[in-house]
Amino acid sequence: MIVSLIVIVVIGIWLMSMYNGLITLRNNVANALRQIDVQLKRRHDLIPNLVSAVKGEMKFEQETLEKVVQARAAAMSVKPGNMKDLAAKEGELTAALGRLMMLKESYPSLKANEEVNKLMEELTHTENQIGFSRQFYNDICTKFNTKQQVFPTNIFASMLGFKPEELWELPADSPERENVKVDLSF
Amino acid sequence: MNIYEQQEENKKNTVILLVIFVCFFLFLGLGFDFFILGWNVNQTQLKSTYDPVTATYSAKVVEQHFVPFGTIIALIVGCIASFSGYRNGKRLVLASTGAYPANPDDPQEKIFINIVEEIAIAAGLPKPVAYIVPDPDPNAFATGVDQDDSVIAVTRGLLDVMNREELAGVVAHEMSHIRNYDVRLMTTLTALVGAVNLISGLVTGGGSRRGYYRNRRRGNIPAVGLAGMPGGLGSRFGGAGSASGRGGAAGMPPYVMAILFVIWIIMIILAPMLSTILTMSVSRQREYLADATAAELTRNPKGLISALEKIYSATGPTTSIGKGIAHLCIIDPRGSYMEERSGAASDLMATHPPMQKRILALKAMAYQHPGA
Repeated sequence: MIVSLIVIVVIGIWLMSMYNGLITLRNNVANALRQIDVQLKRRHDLIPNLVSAVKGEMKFEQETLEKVVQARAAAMSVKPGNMKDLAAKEGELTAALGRLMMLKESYPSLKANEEVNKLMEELTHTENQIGFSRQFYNDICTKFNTKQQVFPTNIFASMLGFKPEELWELPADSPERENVKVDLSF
Repeated sequence: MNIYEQQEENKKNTVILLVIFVCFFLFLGLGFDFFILGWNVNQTQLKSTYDPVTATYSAKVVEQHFVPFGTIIALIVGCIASFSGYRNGKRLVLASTGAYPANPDDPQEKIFINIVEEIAIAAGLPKPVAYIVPDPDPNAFATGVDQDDSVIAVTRGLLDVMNREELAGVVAHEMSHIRNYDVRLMTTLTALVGAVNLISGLVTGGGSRRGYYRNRRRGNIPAVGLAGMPGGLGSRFGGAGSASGRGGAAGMPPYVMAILFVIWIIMIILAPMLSTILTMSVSRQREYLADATAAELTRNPKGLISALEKIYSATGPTTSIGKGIAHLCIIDPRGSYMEERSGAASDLMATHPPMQKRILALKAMAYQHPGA
């Protein structure tokens, strides 16, 4: 009698701590995802300034600039919650911006421009923050998913309504996956 | 040891450190009462044997009633000092190096501020405040007792020689010290052990922003203080104690008194040194963990490897950073390479493991992730 009571109490305590742990992790995952959004928004706000700063000098790169503007518009039009689509569109924007940053190197007048340099540092900073917040999200997401899938938590997790979260992945055909072509002949 | 154990251990050790500090003051005060003011344990018994009926005797009893001023004062001072050391440690450390908040209008310092923000996101921590130490030798340290109230400081010389990746490695190393609560323990230790010296340095006007050259001269004052403070107190008490000691403690053979007194003095001199040595040796293990965590945060061990190599090859000492906060830095600011030597002395006194070993450990990590 007493033994079975103790067993029930112990199991009850274990269930409670497991449930609370999972709730905490789920909230952390949601928070980490919002962090990515904050950084993406930052990037969207930055692009118009950047484009207008380099537009005059980079007359011959209209196509590249056009691509950046289009990718930005596409990324901003993604419906909230659609993570796969968002990851794909933002990936395209990252690729377009990377191309722009590479081209900038061949314009000495741009490299000497203090305003452009400031914006470029701001862009590098934002790109890194996007990368790190993505990394942090994936880390914490993996932690949450692993916790749900290990024994014996896996028996109860789905019963309590926990679902594994999607990692922030680049789609297989994302331009961000393409190898950077480096031309060393000059 | 994983990061959670490390965090718990650091929090626990900080509390132990504060308790030991107060106990040390208590010990100091008790000894002062016992040897110098002549507080005799037997006096309370003496009072009870007297017959209170006789008026003349009872007057004497009142006279004999002893108030342990030394103990009370020492206890109050100890509590206040440990509390203020815990609360103001960060400010003391920053003031002693002459550090100032990074200026976002300076392109290089702006990059540093940005990198601190980036690594804070990677570590999932609140953003620490970025500080600059005006010193040409590359070095860096972190300080603060809470994760949401911490500081990462680098020297101006570090900003001059590092590229973005290397700087990110250094900042990530300091960020892991913050995440592990290493900085809480280290900052408290610094404030408690060095409080007297740092304060005296401030009083003489060293800690201002302009105080670069004054700091240069002051560079090793905290070191003198470590041994000097208790030694000075001990000898002062010793002088007075031998004069009045015989008269004070009646009812005890003189040789017992002498032995007790010597033990008291030795304890006072050795206690802070022992605790410092202990912390030094413990702090070396932290460096490996911080290096590893830095590599994990940036996913780029190569950045930190190249940064450490650059810092290592700059052989000059970091003159703005005193010996008192050596254990907070990414490399020993004394430039003496105590950590490069082997043997008992360096095992006891070095604050950092040999740089070659640290670089090797990171290279092994980089090799496991060739894609990084």
